[in-house]
Amino acid sequence: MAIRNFWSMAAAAVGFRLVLVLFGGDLHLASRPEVSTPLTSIRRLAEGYWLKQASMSPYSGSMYHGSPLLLLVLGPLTNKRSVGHHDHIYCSLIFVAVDFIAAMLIRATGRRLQIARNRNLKSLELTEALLIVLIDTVPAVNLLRTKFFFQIILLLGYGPDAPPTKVFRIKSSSASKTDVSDNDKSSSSRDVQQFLWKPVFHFILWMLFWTFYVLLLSSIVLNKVGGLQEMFEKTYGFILTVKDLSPNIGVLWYFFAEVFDFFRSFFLIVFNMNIVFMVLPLAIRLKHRPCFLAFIYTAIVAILKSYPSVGDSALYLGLLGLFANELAEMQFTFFLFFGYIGVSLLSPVMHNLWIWRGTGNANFYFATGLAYTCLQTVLVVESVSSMIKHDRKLRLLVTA
Amino acid sequence: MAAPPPALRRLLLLLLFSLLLLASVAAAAAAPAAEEEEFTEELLLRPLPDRKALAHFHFRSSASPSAAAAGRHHHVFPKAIAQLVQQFHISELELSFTQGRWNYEQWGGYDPMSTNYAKPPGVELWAAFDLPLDEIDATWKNLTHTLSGLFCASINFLESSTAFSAPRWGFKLNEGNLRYGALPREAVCTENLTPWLKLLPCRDKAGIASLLYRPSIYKGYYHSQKLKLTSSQSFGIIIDQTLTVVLQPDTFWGQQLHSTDGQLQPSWSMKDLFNRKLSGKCRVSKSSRVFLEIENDIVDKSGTEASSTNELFVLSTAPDRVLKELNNMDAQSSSLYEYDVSNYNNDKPLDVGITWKLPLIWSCTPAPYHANRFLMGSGNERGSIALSFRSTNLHKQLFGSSNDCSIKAVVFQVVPWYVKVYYHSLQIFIDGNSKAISEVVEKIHVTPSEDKHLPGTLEMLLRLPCSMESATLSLDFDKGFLHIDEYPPDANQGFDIPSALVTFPEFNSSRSYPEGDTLFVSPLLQTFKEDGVVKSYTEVLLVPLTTPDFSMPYNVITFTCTVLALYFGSLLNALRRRIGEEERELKKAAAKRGLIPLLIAKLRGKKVDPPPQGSSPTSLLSTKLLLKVVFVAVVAVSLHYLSNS
Repeated sequence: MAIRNFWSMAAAAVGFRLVLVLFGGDLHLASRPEVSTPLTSIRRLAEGYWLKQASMSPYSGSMYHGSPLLLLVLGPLTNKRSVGHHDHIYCSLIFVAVDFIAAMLIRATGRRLQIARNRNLKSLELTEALLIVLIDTVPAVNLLRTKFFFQIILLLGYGPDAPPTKVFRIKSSSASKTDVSDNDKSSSSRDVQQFLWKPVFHFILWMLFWTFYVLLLSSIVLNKVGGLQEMFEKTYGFILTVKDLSPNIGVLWYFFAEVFDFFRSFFLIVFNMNIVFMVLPLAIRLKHRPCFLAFIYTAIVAILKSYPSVGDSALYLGLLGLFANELAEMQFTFFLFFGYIGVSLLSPVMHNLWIWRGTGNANFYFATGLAYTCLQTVLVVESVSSMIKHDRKLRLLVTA
Repeated sequence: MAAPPPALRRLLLLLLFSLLLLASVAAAAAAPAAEEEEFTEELLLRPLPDRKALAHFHFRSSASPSAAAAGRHHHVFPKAIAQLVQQFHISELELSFTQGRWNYEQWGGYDPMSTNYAKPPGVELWAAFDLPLDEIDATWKNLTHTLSGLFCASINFLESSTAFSAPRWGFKLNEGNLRYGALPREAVCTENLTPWLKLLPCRDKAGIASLLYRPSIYKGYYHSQKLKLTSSQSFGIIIDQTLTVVLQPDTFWGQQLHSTDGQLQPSWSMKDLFNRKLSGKCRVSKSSRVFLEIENDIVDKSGTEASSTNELFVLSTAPDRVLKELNNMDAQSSSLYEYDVSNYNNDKPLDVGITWKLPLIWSCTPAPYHANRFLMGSGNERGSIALSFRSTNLHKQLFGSSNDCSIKAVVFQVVPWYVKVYYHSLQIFIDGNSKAISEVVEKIHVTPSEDKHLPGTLEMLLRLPCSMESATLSLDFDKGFLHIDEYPPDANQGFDIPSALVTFPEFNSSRSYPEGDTLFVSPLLQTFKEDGVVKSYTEVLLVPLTTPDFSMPYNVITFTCTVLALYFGSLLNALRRRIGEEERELKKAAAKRGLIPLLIAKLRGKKVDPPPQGSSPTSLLSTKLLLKVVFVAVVAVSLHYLSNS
């Protein structure tokens, strides 16, 4: 199997990451716009924690927009130590650990998928698990706080980005994944999906319970310094209304910095509806492949979210490895691969020219963001169409 | 001629008597009204160590509570101000227009002048209201608009909630009824002076205000025009209008010399400074006086006890009185030479001047610490604000050289929202060594800034050790990114952060002078006596913010929407493609024809050779097809029409 080098590579990736954490202080990776957005910035979290310590609401001011529970977990680690050479070293270590766990989870998912597939189609040799780890941990290596947003999902059971229905969709599809993906191949053999309502029902129940539990915990944390109302305004409200216009790798910041004020609400609705709009068509078309559906949803969220970071792309690129077999006939892979490389090289250069040297122009940086969005779009569209093609071929193969 | 009949005579007598009575009543009514409203004018001149001269005009108008309450008519008191106070329930208000920066090192930082009349550049406005707390913000907004109209300045920019703050104790102790705002970029010129002069009963036509010759007062190094208003039930309304200018005396050898050369200080008189002489007082003023202030160091050195002619200098006119400061610790004190303007007139104008006989170097007492503020870092993403204190060792002079003591300093700073300060990043270095916050900061109150809504306010009580030479506080910030409409016309010039205020509550700069006249207290000397906590304002900071391309809105909108349409369209297309494909597959299987012949057949071939199934479905199909085509055409035409109109 191709996974034989897995542990050594994973160890190398984690080691590289640790080296960056320990000795990368001068690179200021933590404040790069690609990595740190208003939602994920560790400095903002530290500020929120400081405000909370000063018995003010962590959401007073426009600094912190994350979950109150994160403050509880990570806040104490952000305290500056007078002797420490790195500000947030403990936080970084936690991020490395969480990323590693995420990589392991993706690998385990990949294995289950592979087993499910192998049970039906015996002959496919896959190297996907290795790919997952490579793709996931290697970008993760370069990022300090990639999984910030997804940590919130993991920890809290709700994502601050997407409208709730959307997350519910992702969740429900991944919940029913275990059952349906067992029947993955049987779906292709015309043995039309028997959708199991029981796990979905269980999932909804659990999610409700979990949400209430988390809200309860949050209100306990915010007790005396603010309320849930303020929390919703400063997290979901902040995300949905794109209040912070600092540059990131997306396009919305520049759009909303330039757009005329009286069109602002219209475009806010348009952009947010766009995320929701694709949920149903994709679900109808790809209902037999919940795992792939989850991947597509993740990618769409990463394209259209208001404060995207490289962490979002790292997640869906990591998941992409799960479908290496199905997407083998994808078009434009060469273009996509070098597009990603080119954008990731050009974007920091343009940012540096504009912000630090003052010789460039905001348009150059915006252009790289535009190119990046285009690339992601092409990736999503191509993977969807090649997945559909692949399924059709399988069906033809089975029927023939 | 016959004498008038007695009845007529009686009538005449009655008339005369009633006229007399009326006149006396009118006189009785007028006399207290004149006392109820007072106006005094004063001018203070002082030579400064760096060969400049300070002139401080002080006009006070006051209305007693009864006169203020009457409201309708005023004799001397400006009606606009009385209405302002009544309308907005102001208990205190201070508005200053300043051009230039007070030089704390040269012109002193420990005397009433620098404490009360050194103001930050631009406009500074604070007001305390006598209102319930929830009405204050709305009242403040109305007040800014009114003042803006009254003084021809853009004070209305302070209306927006991003521009003003509500300090609790850092600026002035209050119960939340005080609002503070500053516009550091506001230019100050004669258009602001004219409405200010309009509040004076004699304007600049007579009295001390007639010295305000515009070219000379706007030529100065520092120009601060201030209006202070106090209103209370017991005292009525008092307005203090002051104008503080630092001028370079216009003597012909004055320019090329420096005070360090051992050369003579420039000799100057009112004529040199203002191009005018003083020819009498404003008629309605209760008192009109000119003071010349000389540091006691100089007076003592001159040997003879405060006379107008001595070894060091000669005063051009002999003063009416000499006032020597009372019971001050010998940090800094001064003597005042007083002139009563009512003794002078057009024929004998007053021209106070000083002529130096010997070269002289002296210095003004500085504040306990020189406070400076500067920016650190480069690039347009982030930076730090640093506030540095340099000790002037004043405390050793005042309290002896014990090194265990500590000096309190209160820092008050307002930061606009686009400078996003991380308050947790506060670092304190004392003599270069990093200190724990809790060691130095005794009390801190932060109102964090909210994007486009609220400025950040920092109030901090520091306790600095006496033995320290220098201290630096630094705060990191991120620079915000603004919407294109929020940039001012010259966006690349940068944005101003208003001055920070540093107060030293343990140091008091008040000075008291003996009063010759117990009935009348000079307002100028009264302000010298009271409220003398040493304050100093720091520099205004200029933060360059990065700018987007201002010409791009249409391009950005079209590009972004194109990308979005690309995503949406192509993804939807990818999703729906299967149906068409399968149909085509079926058709291909049925007709065994190529794609293009199939399409052609679909378009027109069906009618030509009907398939063997039967005619009724095909005719139905063709009408359906026809309907579809017509529908599409209608939609296309209407869209075209709509988009053209």
